[in-house]
Amino acid sequence: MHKLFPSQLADEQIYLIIREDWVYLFLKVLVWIFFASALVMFNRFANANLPDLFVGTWGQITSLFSQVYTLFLTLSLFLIFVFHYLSIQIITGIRIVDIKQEGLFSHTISELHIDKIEDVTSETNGLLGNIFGYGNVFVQTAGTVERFEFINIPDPAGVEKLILDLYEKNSNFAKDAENNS
Amino acid sequence: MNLSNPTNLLIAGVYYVLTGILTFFSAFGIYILIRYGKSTPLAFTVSVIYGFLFLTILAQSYNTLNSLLA
Repeated sequence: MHKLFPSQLADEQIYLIIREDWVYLFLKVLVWIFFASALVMFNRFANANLPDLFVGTWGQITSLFSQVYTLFLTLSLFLIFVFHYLSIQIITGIRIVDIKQEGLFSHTISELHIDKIEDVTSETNGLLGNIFGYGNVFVQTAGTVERFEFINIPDPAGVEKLILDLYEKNSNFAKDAENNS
Repeated sequence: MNLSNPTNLLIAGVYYVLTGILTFFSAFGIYILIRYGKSTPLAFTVSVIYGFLFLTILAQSYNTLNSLLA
């Protein structure tokens, strides 16, 4: 079985896998495009106005600078993808798992059992959030981590409803088990 | 590569430091993507494509450095 997180059980049903909304990824890529276009604009401008920069020794220095800058751009685009891809929230039948990749050297996994939930709040703020339907979900807990935060996720109201439905289902299941014993 | 000239030495030093850092971050990025991405096809494909692209540009830059410092 392909596990999404280390403690996943074999029969544990996965209801939802959430990543940051595509709008936020797009905004990060937009910033990257700005830096990439800086290189393109430099080449165009310098070719037109400073042609000596591309001839002889200076040409080689300019070429070297461009190549190292391209390495930097390639790496930054790759890391944008890595951080987006590896930061996920998973809602299963019995728990919520928050996996965060914060930087290259920090990978955090937090788990919250559904029956430890005290309160769930969803919010959609701002113009972009309302247009594209993304926002935040806050899960208040009775555990060590007081609040689980799902930031900039798609359809926060739907996620809130799902968590509450699972909480109800878990509560009913626990009550039935108690009555039967 | 002629490193007897202090200017050449400086250029080579800066180049190696910069590319060394970029290479380290690239390698570590690929490592964590494959480790935490659970070796899914997408993670693996992106890693291979990125690795190939990075090494190609790195090789080109090294050739440029060599011809600059010759």
